[in-house]
Amino acid sequence: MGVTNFVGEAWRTGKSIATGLKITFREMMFRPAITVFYPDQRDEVPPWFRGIPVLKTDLRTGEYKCTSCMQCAQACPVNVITIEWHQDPETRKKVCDRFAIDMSRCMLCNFCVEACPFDSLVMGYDYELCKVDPENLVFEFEDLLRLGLKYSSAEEPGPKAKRSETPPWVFHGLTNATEDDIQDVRGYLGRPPLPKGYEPELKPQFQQKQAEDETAATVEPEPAAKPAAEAKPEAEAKPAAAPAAQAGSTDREEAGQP
Amino acid sequence: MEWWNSLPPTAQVWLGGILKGSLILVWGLLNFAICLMLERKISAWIQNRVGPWRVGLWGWIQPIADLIKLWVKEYIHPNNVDKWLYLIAPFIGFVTANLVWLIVPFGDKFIATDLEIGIIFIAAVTGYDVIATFMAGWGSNNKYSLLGAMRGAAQLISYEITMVMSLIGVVMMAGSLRLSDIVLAQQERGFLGWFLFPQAIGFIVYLIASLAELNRAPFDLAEAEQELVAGHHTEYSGMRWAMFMLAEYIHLAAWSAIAATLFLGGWSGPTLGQVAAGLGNVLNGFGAFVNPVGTAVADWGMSIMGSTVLNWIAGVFWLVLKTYFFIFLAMWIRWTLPRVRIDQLMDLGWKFLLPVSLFNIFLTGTLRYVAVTFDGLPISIGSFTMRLLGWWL
Amino acid sequence: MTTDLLMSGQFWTFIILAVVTLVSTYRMVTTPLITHAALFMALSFTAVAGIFLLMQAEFIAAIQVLVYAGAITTMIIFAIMLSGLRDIKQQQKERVKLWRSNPAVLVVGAVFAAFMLYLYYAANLPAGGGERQVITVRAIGTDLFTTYVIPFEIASVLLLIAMIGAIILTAKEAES
Repeated sequence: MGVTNFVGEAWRTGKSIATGLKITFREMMFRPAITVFYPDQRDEVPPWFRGIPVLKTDLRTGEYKCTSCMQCAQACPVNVITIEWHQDPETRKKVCDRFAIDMSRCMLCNFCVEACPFDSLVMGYDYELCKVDPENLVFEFEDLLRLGLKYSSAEEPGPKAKRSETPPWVFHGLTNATEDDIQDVRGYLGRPPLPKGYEPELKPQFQQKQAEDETAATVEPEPAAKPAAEAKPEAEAKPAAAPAAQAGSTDREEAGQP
Repeated sequence: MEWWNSLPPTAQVWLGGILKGSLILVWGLLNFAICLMLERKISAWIQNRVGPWRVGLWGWIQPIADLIKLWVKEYIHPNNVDKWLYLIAPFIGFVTANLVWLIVPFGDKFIATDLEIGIIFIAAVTGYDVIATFMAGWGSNNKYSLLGAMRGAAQLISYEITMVMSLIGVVMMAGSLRLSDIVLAQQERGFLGWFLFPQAIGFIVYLIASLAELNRAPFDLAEAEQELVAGHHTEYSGMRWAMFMLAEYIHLAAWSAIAATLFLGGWSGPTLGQVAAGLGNVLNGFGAFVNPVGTAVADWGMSIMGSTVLNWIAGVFWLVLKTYFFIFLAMWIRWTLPRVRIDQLMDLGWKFLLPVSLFNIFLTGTLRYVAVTFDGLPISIGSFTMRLLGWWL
Repeated sequence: MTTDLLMSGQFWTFIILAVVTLVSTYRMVTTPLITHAALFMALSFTAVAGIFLLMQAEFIAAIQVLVYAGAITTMIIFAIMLSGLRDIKQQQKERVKLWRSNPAVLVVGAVFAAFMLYLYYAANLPAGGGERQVITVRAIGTDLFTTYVIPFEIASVLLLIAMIGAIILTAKEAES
């Protein structure tokens, strides 16, 4: 190592250190703090936030949407969902006696919500789940329904909404996602927003599925070539559908779809 | 004062020693509280946070709450530790950190012990830091502790050499190891007389080496959290752990005070009397209608210029100001730079800083020799140049 | 005279420091654990430095602490750490055998004690007695670079040679 190299290296080191110090000084002096004073203020959680899973109620009928089908309990990787039910002898329907989630072991993985065929479960935004006694962390049916009230809606899901269009991070009508939010079709989160009308080039493993979707779309009464174009009437229908909703059969239709 | 003089000399020595020692301890603890708070606040500001906020106004009495918490905390004594080493080690580190404050001059003759060997004393006291670190690491009976202690010891001894070498330039210019003499030698040309300017190389080397001596980031290898849980104080808890923290921050303040003394002129700075006199003169320049006020201010300044107590207060003020400049610098660097690797640390110490500090000694000696030699030749063009150089030295 | 001596703080400070020195030196030899021995050695060096301070030889005291309690102890600690625990345990086993060499220890000790006693009686005690001369760093430096410049330089050359020798020895070890 010659002397020139020696001096040059020292100079470069000093320069880079000075640059770093300049940046931290700027952050220290001229940038406001982004701290949220937690117990006094609460930050807005992002739409994809996964808090405690709660049960939805159908606000039109006032009945819970859960049918005790046990899909969520099956899907749960840590077995925290306990469901007890009996069959109503008159209507031959299952009646849920107990639906409990042990939040001391729940890892908020969203699998139960994905498994639910009746759009009954949803990941809530409640995150203050601390209890002094861990036994109190077992949330019973009433607790879950009460917490889930604010996520429940009376609105009709759009005519023949296609499950495949909805990416898994949009929670089944919970977030009221518009067309702009569903740009990242089968892609990855974190991609910058795409320009309007941009049609993504699908990866080969998805192309087959896309073709299937398109054939399914053509069978349906509304002729629509692209999913993006089809989502528009759905988005327009959403606000209008709330009061004049036709009762019944929506759940079963939704469940019938793959 | 009469009561004091009536005491026998032995009692005077002992009482004075106890009094000075207590004052130094209190001063050290005060600095610890302020440094702890500053560290947390500065790290918060750099990371766009607000830092401690709940205790007191803007959280400024958080360190007291911390100390109370540590004081009443359960003290955990692990089973298989080397008992005496484990128990004594924190206190040795703490005492060592406080010892450095003994020789820091706060003002003219305002100093606990004006040792003739000031700088050697600093280097000697640092040796016990190694021993305290090693005792804690060995006594804890924990592999992380021992590894951290060995790293710390290796780092301390390699950087101690560099640090002393970087100070030799200052000693050569002041012609004395005594810290008060070094301060007095810097007072000749006011602001420009500080050794910071002629000893720029030594200053930078000292800054880096003292950061390494203090085990602060970017050289905090001895307690690198990601590798060794907490280094040599992994097994400590409660007040004994707090002793390590106390030692760390008191050490930081002490090193900063030493740096301020050696390179920034220590306690020297305008006193209240000088400021008032200067202000009065300035006011007098504005015209006749402010003359009475200006004269009064100037007179008042002149009258209090000789007051020892006021001058001491000014000295303490300037020293604390300069000290906290260095403390701020250390914290700023800590929250900016990432940690170096152990081989980079050793490379920097032995292959870069040591040659540079030796070169600094050589340069200082040469320039000083040239300046002294050629100063006597009046009719020479070179003399003028050398005189300029000598002016700098 | 005697009561004065007993009353003076200096005397008792000296007694305390001397006792600390002796006890720590004794423990250094007898302690079973080698790291403790190193630390006891540091303690005895520190106490000796205190005795130097008592005699107002600040420079010597500081050098004592800097070189012996600081550098030498650290070096020994590093030597212990680098030699590995197995060697230390081996030495602990062999400590028992050391008792067989008692006579040799006695002889060496006796010779050393005789030498020290000779020095003590040959010295002109009490030294000085009049004005206490404070040796400044400046005086030591001046002497080193004028009167004793040749021994000083010889010592530094010797140290340099030792250093180079150590480097060569370790380099050979590393090669093989």
